[in-house]
Amino acid sequence: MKIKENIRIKQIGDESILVSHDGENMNYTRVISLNKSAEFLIAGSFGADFTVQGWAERLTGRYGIDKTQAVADAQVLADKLMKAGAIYE
Amino acid sequence: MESLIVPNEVFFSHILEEIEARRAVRIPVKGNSMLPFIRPLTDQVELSELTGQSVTKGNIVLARTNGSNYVVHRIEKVEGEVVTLRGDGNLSVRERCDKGNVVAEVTAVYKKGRKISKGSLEWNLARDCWFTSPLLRRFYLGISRNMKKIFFLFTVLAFLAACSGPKGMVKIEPPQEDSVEYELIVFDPGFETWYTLQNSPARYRSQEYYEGWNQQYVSEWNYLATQPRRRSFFESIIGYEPGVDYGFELNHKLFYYFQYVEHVLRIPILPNGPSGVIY
Repeated sequence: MKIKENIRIKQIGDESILVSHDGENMNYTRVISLNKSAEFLIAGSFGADFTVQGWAERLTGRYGIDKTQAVADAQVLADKLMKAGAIYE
Repeated sequence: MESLIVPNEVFFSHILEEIEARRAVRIPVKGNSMLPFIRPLTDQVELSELTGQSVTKGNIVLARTNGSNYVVHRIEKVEGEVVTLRGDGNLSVRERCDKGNVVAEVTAVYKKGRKISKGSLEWNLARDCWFTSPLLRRFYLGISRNMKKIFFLFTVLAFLAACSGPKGMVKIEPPQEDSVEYELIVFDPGFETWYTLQNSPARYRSQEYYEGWNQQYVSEWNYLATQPRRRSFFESIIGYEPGVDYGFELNHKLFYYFQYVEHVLRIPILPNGPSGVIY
């Protein structure tokens, strides 16, 4: 999977969000709010292929959580981003 | 889809960073103040960096007013360093700021995905025909703001037409999700046309003046609605309470509705009403 080239992480106050550039402007009408772990995973994935397993390993390494839980969390995030059109296979 | 809520100040501070980095941004809009050209919730606007011609009458800009308040309104006039703004949907409210507080220009409006760019025919029509026609503005806004209620109004009027005689019915609606303003609905189409001709800023008095008279009128009206000989016309007015700030526009319109009933329909309400009211 890859993050689409027009996606950016932005910080608005205390909120981290994903916004897209649609070729003419930065579109703040449809944004994706990120928690800290989502921001950590996405920030480290720009410009490169990634997998759910790879994300799970990064979560385990950073937060020390159980691998099964990490895979589940990573899959949920990937599904949401896929549905939102922020990533592609 | 959920909404992400951030304080206006925080949001626009970030937006300005984008614009200063020469990136145009597309943002959602709230409020009715730019009706009918820009509709809240459904329309979006593109904000771009200022050019040498941005601070010019007729352009729509993002400006900082009263410290940290941001508005997206049209420039009504520029006098030296002072810029006067007015939303297309505002009849009387204006904002003033220094040129330095005009921070971005609206260069496009998106309506259901369709882009209307500055300089296009539709854009220029909205600017030229709307902005320079105060009478048309007042009449059309009355329709535009109540589009959702027009069908309901027609239904009620059809019912009333089956009954004998005119009815005095008004409804005061609390603010909807996207607004902070109360709305006055008058179930008499003849009033809207008459009011359009009466609504002249040159004759405005204070909000307190209209509030004072409205409280007397509402009290007397609701009393008359209980009287057997008068209640065929008077329907109780619900929702106008003492101590609530319904705003200038609602109070002005309600006051003039009472004048319409007394002087056009010739139905007495107050034995000693206001003097010196011009229509």
